[in-house]
Amino acid sequence: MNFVLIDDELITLFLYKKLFQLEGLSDEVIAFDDPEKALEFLQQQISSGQVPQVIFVDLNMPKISGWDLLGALEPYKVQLQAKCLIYLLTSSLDPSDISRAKEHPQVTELIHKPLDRHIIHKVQENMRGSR
Amino acid sequence: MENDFSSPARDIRFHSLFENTPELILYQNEESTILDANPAFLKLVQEPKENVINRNYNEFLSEDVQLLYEEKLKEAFTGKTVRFDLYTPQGNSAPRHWDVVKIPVSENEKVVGVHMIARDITEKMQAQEEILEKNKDLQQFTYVVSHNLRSPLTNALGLVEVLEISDPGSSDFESTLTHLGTSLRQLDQVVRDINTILSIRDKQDLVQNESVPLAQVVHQAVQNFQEALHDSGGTARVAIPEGIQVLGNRAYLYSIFFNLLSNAIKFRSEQRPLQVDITLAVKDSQTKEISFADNGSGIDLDKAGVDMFKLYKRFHPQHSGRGLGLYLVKAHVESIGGQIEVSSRPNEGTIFKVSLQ
Repeated sequence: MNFVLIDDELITLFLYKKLFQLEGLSDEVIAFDDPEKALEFLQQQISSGQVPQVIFVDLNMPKISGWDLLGALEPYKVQLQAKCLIYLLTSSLDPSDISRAKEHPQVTELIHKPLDRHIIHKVQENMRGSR
Repeated sequence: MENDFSSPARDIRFHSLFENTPELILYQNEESTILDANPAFLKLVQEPKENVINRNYNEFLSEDVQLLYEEKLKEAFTGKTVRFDLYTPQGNSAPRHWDVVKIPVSENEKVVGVHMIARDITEKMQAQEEILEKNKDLQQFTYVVSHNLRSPLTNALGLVEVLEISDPGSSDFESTLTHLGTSLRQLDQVVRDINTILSIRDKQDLVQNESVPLAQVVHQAVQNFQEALHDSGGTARVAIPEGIQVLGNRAYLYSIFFNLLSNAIKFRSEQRPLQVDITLAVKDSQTKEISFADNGSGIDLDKAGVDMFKLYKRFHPQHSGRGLGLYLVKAHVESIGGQIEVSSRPNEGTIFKVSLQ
């Protein structure tokens, strides 16, 4: 699985899946509307050596926020490093989010929504670069 | 002779100013000894004049400002008028904010003494701090609102992009269109929310508190949920004596109990029938504490605590809701001069305590 999408908004997830489908990447995407389930999945994958190439995670989710999820992935830092690109997604324009994102070295970039095809293209370029 | 035209004579006027102004006036020498003090100062420190004259002013100030005060006095003795702020008690008075001016008195080009005029600016400072606090609040509010406006808006933008490249006859087109409609309605809802919130904020200082029969309002709110309670097998017990009045606004009080009940039903436990108990503890003759307790799914306050009453914060991913209810409850409680607290245990229940006058 190359792309993991995590967002509690079903419409947002629908849109993202649609975008990946239009890029012909449908088969490479797994989407979660429940961050807890996503975390379980990620832990399992990483432990079995199948690190996803890209994780897109929404910052603003109830119960487990994007920040919480980052924290929970902290123990897998070594496995994730250089193999997995992590993109934070937010519709907020709060500048404090940007500075907070910079404090997490494992975060590739904070993306202001909407995620669109240009961003997916850019991410694909980054994937090639990091290989 | 100067001022022949003014009446009464100059020294009478200045004497009157010294005696009657609400500002504190002292006359001091270079050692900070008080050589003269006006009645406003004597009244504040509650000492007769003979106990004040010839004493060092430092004895009336709190320790942490004595050094600052000495420096400013020294500066004034170089011939400069100095102005500064102080927060200190004077004598046995409560601490206050003071706007202090020191004005040198010169004789033959030599400073022989310094007048101090201190004006109490405590209320002004408090008002200023309140404004700063409110400003910070508003800025946070703007970020939250902009986030919640952008969230459905960005979805709509993305969905339109998908529509543009999709085949109008396809089933994908239809579902994308449906989602677009939903997103736009969500956007509209946020704008309506803002209206609701702003109208409470606007009226915050204008709400006329009146005596409201508490039991009547609570029963009215419960009545509204009779059907929902019945359908979910829940009960709400109201143990508030008739005749108890609280100070508030009837519509706000109704909204408080409406939202609390709505939450209790929404977040009830699946493991047991919902039981809501609304009881009253008259704390003292004035404060009435209303307890609103349910046996629902509860919440981990260690995690949610600070965000519990915040706008658009949600804690139950599996439930619909915009994260507005408890924000409105708190805003309503506070705008009628009350307070609200929450305690909760996951899987046991939640208790809200609303204190009103």
